[in-house]
Amino acid sequence: MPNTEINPQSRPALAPKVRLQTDQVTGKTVLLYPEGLLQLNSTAQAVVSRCDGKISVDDILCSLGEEYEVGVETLRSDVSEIFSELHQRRLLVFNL
Amino acid sequence: MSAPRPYALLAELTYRCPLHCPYCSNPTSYPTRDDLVTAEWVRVLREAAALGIMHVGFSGGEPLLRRDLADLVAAARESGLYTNLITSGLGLEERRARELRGAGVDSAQVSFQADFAELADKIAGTKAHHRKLEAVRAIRDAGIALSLNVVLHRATIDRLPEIIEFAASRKAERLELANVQYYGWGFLNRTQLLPTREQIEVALRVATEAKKRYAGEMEIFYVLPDYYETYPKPCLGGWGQRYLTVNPAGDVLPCPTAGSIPGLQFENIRERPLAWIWHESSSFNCFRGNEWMKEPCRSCPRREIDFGGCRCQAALLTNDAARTDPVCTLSPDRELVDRVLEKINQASATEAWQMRQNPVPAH
Ligand code: SF4
Ligand code: SF4
Repeated sequence: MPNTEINPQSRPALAPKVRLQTDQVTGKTVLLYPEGLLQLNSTAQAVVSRCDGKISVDDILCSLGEEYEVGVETLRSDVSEIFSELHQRRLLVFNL
Repeated sequence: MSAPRPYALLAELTYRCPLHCPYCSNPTSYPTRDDLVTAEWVRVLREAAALGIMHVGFSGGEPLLRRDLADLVAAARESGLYTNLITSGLGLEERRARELRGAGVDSAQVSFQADFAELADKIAGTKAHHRKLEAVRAIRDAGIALSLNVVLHRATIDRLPEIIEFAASRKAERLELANVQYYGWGFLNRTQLLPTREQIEVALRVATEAKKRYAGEMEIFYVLPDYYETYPKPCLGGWGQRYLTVNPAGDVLPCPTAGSIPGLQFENIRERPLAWIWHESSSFNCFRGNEWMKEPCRSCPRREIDFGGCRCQAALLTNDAARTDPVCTLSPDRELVDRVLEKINQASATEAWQMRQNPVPAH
């Protein structure tokens, strides 16, 4: 089974098959992959747009905290949920 | 009736193919008009993106036979479309793979006929297996996401464990194990290709177990042959709801095999804009929603789940595309399917396959 425990030091990136795209009809951000697409809500969009393979999970949390002016602890569970779902669906990869 | 927005386009670039698989769902009689030229395809891609389409699958026949494939990929990319190359792999060496990657191909789906050359080449009707192995290497080296597709039928389904292992050894991210769908050439070879009930039961167990074992490493999709199901498969999210197909001659179809439905007239991209065809044409509107349904579908609660099943299958088996898909056990025509199953589950049919032929060039 995929390990859903995500290392906070790992640096997430879009999986090779995935592309981030703006839906021209709705203006929303979507992830495109061979079997379909996933529409991102605003939190997921903020998370995924930071997944460039260079910034760690922890640093992404901090940067979100700064942008939304909330404590990292408030964000943590929402963000982990997004990460583990995208990890399970193999849309994000986590490199150490 | 107002139309929803489409999400995906299947662009069948040519019906020519170096392989002759007896299960091919391509039509058994090909359009007589010339294939679309580059500029026409580029227009189709732009119009598709403007309609809301986000995915394009380049398919065929063998799309690599189009010399302008990289240009079409680039045009798709420019319009923001996600591009998936659906290919036999023949003709995809290192240079071509890099060229396509440079043009913006996002992923490639390579078909394999079996896990070893002797059987695979017999099914393909030509020496193809080793060239496919090279193609897979080239795809990986070029950094294109790889999925493999193996069509299952009576001659391959018992090798499912080996096929799955083979796909894993090629480091595929995804493996699609689709049982033959009985359209086009596949329909002609139906009694030779349908697996027995026993084969299906074993295969389902193998696939379910492998899905668990390979989770996190390789995604496995297993599609049951619908002849053995209780209810039909939903038709691509409903007729004219999410998908459209443009065939090599520019005909626009609600589904790749809709050409087999008698009496249905298709619009051509040379005469009409894609948006008009999607919204207004009678071929797209005739089975949209559920107004067209007859009983038992009309009053069935599952009609929002499976949309009455497949129109092409209803047409092929009953000669009336508006009837309930005969695969449905509630259909008054289910007997048509059961008779075939009975036949193939008794005798081990050994008739020869009728191999897929290519279109004859007009000039
Ligand atoms: S009508 Fe049948 S063949 Fe055509 S898309 Fe629907 S399910 Fe597939
Ligand atoms: S009767 Fe029609 S709607 Fe009901 S399950 Fe069968 S095919 Fe689907």
